[in-house]
Amino acid sequence: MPNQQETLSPVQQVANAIVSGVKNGDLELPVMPSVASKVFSLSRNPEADMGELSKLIHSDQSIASHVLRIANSATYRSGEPIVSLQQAVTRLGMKLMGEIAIAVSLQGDIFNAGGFEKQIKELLRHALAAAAYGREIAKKRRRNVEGQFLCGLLHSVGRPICLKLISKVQKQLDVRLNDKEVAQIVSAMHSKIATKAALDWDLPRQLQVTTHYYPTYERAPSFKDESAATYLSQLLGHWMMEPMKFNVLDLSKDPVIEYLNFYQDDFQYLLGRKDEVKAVVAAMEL
Amino acid sequence: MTPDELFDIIVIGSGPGGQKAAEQATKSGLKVAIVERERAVGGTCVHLGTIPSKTLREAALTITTLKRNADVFDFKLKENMEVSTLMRRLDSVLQSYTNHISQQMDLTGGKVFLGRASFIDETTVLVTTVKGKRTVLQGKHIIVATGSRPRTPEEIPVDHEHILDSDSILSMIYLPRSLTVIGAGVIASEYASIFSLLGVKVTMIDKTPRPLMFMEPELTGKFLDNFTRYGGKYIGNVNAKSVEWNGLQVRTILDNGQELLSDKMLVAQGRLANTEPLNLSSTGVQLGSNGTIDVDENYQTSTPSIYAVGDVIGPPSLASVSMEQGRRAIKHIIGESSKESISLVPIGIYAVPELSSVGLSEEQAREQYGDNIIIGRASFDEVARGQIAGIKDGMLKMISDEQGEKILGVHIVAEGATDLIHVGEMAILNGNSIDVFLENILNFPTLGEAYRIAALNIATKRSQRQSKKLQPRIQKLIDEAELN
Ligand SMILES: Cc1cc2nc3c(=O)[nH]c(=O)nc-3n(C[C@H](O)[C@H](O)[C@H](O)COP(=O)(O)OP(=O)(O)OC[C@H]3O[C@@H](n4cnc5c(N)ncnc54)[C@H](O)[C@@H]3O)c2cc1C
Repeated sequence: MPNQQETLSPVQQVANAIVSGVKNGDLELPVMPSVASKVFSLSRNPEADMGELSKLIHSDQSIASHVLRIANSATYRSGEPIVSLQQAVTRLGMKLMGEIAIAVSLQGDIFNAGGFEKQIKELLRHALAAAAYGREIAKKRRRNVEGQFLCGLLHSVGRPICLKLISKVQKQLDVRLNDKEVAQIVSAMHSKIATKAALDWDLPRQLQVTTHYYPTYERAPSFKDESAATYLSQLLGHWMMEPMKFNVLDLSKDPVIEYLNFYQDDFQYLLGRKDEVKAVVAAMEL
Repeated sequence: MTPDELFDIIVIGSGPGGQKAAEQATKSGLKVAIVERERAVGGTCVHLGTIPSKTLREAALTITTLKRNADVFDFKLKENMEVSTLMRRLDSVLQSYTNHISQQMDLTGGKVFLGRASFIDETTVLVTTVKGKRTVLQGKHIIVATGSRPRTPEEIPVDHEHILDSDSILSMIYLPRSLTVIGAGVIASEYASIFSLLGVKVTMIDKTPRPLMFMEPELTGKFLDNFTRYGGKYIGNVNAKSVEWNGLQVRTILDNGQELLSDKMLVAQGRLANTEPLNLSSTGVQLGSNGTIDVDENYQTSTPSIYAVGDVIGPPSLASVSMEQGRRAIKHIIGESSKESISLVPIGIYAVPELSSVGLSEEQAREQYGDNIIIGRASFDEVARGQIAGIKDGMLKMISDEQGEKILGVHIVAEGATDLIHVGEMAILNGNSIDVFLENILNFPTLGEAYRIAALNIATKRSQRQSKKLQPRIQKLIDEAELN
């Protein structure tokens, strides 16, 4: 009788391996090599200031989440939990932040994203656009923007992790999935992975909730508005990156616009912030 | 334009002013429409002002009490200081409050339109929903109760991230280590003292020599003592020359050259009336110099069919006052005159500790009644309940006329001051002499006993002035008070 693994399709084999990988806590986010080298050179430069390091940390989904995680680990934590990047920068200081950022940058096998580098770069770019739009949405609603930026940046954290896991498992099993199969696994698993990562990494409660609930914001047990704003920010992020795929009229009819009480002119205002958001993405993109 | 629906009264805005106007109107049998641009009724008071700030205050006080008693109860505070944790009760408070308001509106039969209102003419209002649906309403009378929003001075770059206003401060996700507060009014003083109680290093700056200039200096002195005891700092007589986010901290340069650095900044420099989107130019309604709507003593504007109440007409900008104005506007419309114009407004400031006052200040009393007015004081460390509850640094100041009889004003600083003030308010309203506090029985031990002590203080001065011996009964009361 053939063993079960042999009868499974490559997609199922990869999916199963990922499920067990996730169970074992194998949730590393890939870091773009360029970020690693920038952090490295910045923290070696005596002239560099905290502001620059702060900017860099804000620019990358992976660095951001790892900084939060490590800053809250038993080794570094000195009292209250660190729930925002800005707070991490001011509380931990340049040297420590540099150490953490370098550790993070060098941790993942960065040069080995298994052929998904381009996709991961796109995902991170979208996360950055969602973060920048989150900031605009919060400003318009006269709510604090710091948390909303992070919600946008980390909402899709499950996708690059998933791609990285696929890359690793493909190598281990010596199989190769096509683009469609990869997309299938990512879309089936990214949400669970993101939720688990947010919990495992002990990210702030607001991030745990929005990362999981942004697509179903009305069902969020708390931070409903923040989840809805995250949903809208990632939607606008997609629109900014691929305007041709969206009909603005349809976009303006998305129920989230009403949920957040954005009038037509408020929405037009948000659309009009596209160039500013683009500039933020361009400035932060590495 | 042909209207889609006709009403007796259209109320624009569902804050305290609009709500109470609508309630009064429906009670009087009028057909009422309420227009609200947010997705829930309640106004600033419920969603961004009074109730959220007081929820945070309660949390701060509870934490302080628990910390103070940590050794007694073998209790350790969780380190979690995300602001949302402190405001955990807010959602349920808001839910039940907005439910209550909606139920009240349903019961009284007012029809709620969620959308943004703007005038077409003096009796017609266009309501545009978030989705862009337009409805035209016509009303015999229209009440504008659109409230106010924080004023952002041009020179301060409020970004809602590092430099916040009173709307965005509540959604801050963590407690900063340091906070600069620009302003020294009610909102500034409330938040400054709440955050300093929570362990944030707060520096308050303003052009006035002391915070809350409209309150008695003795009261604000106590407030400042308390504020500085918790690590707060007040810098008066200065203006902020520049404010910037330097990439790491908020850097404020004062006009005396001093530099302040803080994690965050709260800008609380007054509020602006919400009038712009109303298209008031189509109605002939006159605006005041600072953008508020001008009204007469009945809250009627220069256009007879339009009334305005609440923050949109300017100070005192209190929920309590807005409610009464709403009721009175309707009474005037239906021809039922209110007894007298509102002359006695209690002021309540929920700083830590609370400050509250009613009637004349010492300065006003001197102007109106001359320098011979008599002032009685009670310090809460003389009051048994104050000792028991640990409220020792408060005081009650009572001002009477030169005969030591008529109560002109009462001013209190202490936890509970905003409730306690009503005793004084009723005494003033009823024209009671200060002797009412000597001749009648008050519960013991209570903070209300402070009224008796202040009244005794006045009685003593009164008899000294008349170089008469005190009535034996009053002398006995003084002796007793000293024993307590
Ligand atoms: C931080 C803070 C703390 C406060 N604490 C206290 C306190 O302890 N005690 C106290 O008495 N007061 C307090 N206040 C003041 C109090 O909140 C206001 O005085 C009160 O809310 C004013 O009521 P209002 O009805 O005039 O307006 P608001 O409560 O501002 O309501 C106005 C409503 O009109 C709506 N609106 C505006 N424009 C339109 C339009 N074009 N179409 C339809 N709807 C519109 C708004 O959405 C809003 O719901 C506080 C305020 C703040 C900011």
